[in-house]
Amino acid sequence: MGIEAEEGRRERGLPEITWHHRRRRPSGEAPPLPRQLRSSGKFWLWWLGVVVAVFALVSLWTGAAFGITHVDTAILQGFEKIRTPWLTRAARGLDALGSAWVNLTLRWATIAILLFYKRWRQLAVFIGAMLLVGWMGSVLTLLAARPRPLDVTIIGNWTGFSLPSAPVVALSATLVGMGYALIPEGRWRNDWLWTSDVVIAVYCLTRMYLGADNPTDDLFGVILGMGLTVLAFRLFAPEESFPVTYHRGVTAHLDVTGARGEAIKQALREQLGLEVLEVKPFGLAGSGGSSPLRLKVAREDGTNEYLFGKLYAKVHLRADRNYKFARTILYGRLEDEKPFNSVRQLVQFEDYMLRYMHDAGVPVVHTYGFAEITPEREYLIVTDFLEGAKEISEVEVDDAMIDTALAIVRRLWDGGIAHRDIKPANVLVRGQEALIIDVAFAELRPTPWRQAVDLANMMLVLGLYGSPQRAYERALQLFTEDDLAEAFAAAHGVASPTQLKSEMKRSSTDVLGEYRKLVPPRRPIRIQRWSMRRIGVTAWTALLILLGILLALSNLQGAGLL
Amino acid sequence: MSRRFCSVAGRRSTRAAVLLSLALVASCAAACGPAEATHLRMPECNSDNATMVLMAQAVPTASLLPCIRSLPTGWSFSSFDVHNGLASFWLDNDRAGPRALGVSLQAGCALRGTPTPSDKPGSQLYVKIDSLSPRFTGTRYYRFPRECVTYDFSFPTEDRAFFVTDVTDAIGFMTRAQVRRFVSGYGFTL
Repeated sequence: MGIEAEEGRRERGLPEITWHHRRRRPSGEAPPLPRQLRSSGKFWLWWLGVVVAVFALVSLWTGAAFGITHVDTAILQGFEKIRTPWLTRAARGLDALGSAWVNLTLRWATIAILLFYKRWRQLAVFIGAMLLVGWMGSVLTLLAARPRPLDVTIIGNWTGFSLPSAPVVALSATLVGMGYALIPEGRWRNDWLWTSDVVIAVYCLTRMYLGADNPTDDLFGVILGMGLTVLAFRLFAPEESFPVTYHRGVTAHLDVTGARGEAIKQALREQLGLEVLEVKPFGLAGSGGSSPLRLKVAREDGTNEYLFGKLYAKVHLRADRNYKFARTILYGRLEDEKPFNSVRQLVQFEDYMLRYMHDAGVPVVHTYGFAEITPEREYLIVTDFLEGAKEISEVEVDDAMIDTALAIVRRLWDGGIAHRDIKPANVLVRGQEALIIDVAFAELRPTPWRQAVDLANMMLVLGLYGSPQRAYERALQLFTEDDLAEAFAAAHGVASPTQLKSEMKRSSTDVLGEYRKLVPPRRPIRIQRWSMRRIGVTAWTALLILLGILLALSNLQGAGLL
Repeated sequence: MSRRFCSVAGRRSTRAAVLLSLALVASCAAACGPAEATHLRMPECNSDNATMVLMAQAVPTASLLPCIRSLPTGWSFSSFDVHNGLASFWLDNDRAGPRALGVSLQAGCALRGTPTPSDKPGSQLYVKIDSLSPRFTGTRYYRFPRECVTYDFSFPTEDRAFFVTDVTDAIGFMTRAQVRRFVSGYGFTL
């Protein structure tokens, strides 16, 4: 792949860039960006292991449970000896820290903030962790069935069995969950977690002073509450993939600083042979389906050059899946697209389409292949960076430009390809040449309807920034009147990308109306086509949403969130 | 090399995390959502029952603790709620419906209704009937010297006599001394 890329650059007369020897990753060696629990995750994992072991021990051998209770009782009797009226008053006040109201307020506030900032991943993990911890807490207490402290006068409030301490589990999970869900990694989060540790420690001491919990109840409560929450965030919202940030923008974009930035450089050096000096986000506003990057690479002559990268991750795969699923329900058979099954498949397809289109004579950017950052989770495709290229909306659309743009559609048709996302942002102009980008959603051997839509969309783009009359006349050199009539019969509703539709709305000219006056009359092609699949999927989705709402309400109630 | 070891260890940790999570879930999921786990802790009239110890802790003054002697046909244990000062449990009946009977133990209570000869020695019994039809609902208050036990019931009117008999058979009492003997076997007092 790298060799081909080198030769490709030579053929295109481009300056040599610094190529490295590609290196195969041996079996057992970590990928550039492995998924890691980090030290805190491992720390809690071990403690959770201890909890499981102790639970197993006390379940099988009642004597062990009472053995532990003797130690607990000795500690609690120590607390009992230092009871004074003022300390008792203070302890009863502090006991409110673990009340349902405190937990409910903190949890709902966290959920509200996450909703406001659209941090969906953190929101899902936070709610999931609270539900899991609540469920584990209630079930484990019943399984362990440990009485409240013995041989000590209990002067605090309590409910149910004591191991693990339910209020300690809830408070630990809430405070740690807030830290991981709301606070960016770094000093502030560390400060929050240390403060939480102090608050939880004080609360545990309070419970022991009041004789309401045994020390091991509180210890297990802390381990379960904190440990499960930390592991949930480490596994399902890892910082490398889902950093907590408060800047506005498309949330699908991944952070490329720190560990991921270094991993990208390593992956491109080892897998594509590229010496990357800098990785920077680029053109984020125009892209939600991937994280676009500008990669600075070294040239042989000591100068630098930019290449373009698109980082795909699971979040993008899911977005694509949801998008296609929604379109199946909303628009039926014409849009019943099959989603990709993996990130690798998605990026592989884009790389393949770039090569296929290039072979079919369609002007597209040159691909250098793609690199694996995290297996099955993150991949980066690298292409030429179109330095100096402009969006078609920013250049003069004369006859030559119309011809080169329409030639793209002609070649797509001849190659049996549909681009499916022709809009101003995806038609770039470099010199006198028009190119198309964003080919990840292209299709080979598409339906005639899709091909007609490509033509219509390109005509609409040209009509928006040039003259519809001129575009129509030039189009007749490459397409028949019937082709054009079919295209405008297909071009309505869902057929045009959102950007194109909004540009048409903003335009003072009714471009579509102008074209429809020019083409021979033809009945619009119906988009809403019902099929058994669409009916089934729609009914099934409605049922699942209903069940989901009922289940969520019931679980929220169970977790003390309602 | 160290990076390699770290990464291998990292993957092992991830695997271990998954296994541990599964173990934790499996340890609870063996027929035990909270409802199923509750059934394991039915307050039966056995001295080695942890729920009875908890009930004794809830009302430290109580010398008699209500418990389930046996469940007549058609009756099942519903749930319990024990906290400092109050211990309650509920029974379902296939004809009378869910929570047809609720039994509560407290240190004291305000007696309501009509004084009635008590079937429990050493107690005063008051019966308050809230309705006779369409359901027979009300409360029986048993006041003992150191505790008060209430039965809240809601039965279909037509078969109320059968249900009252069932309740008399189902609910028994354990003495605090019996529970204390169990705890003292492990070196504790109650």
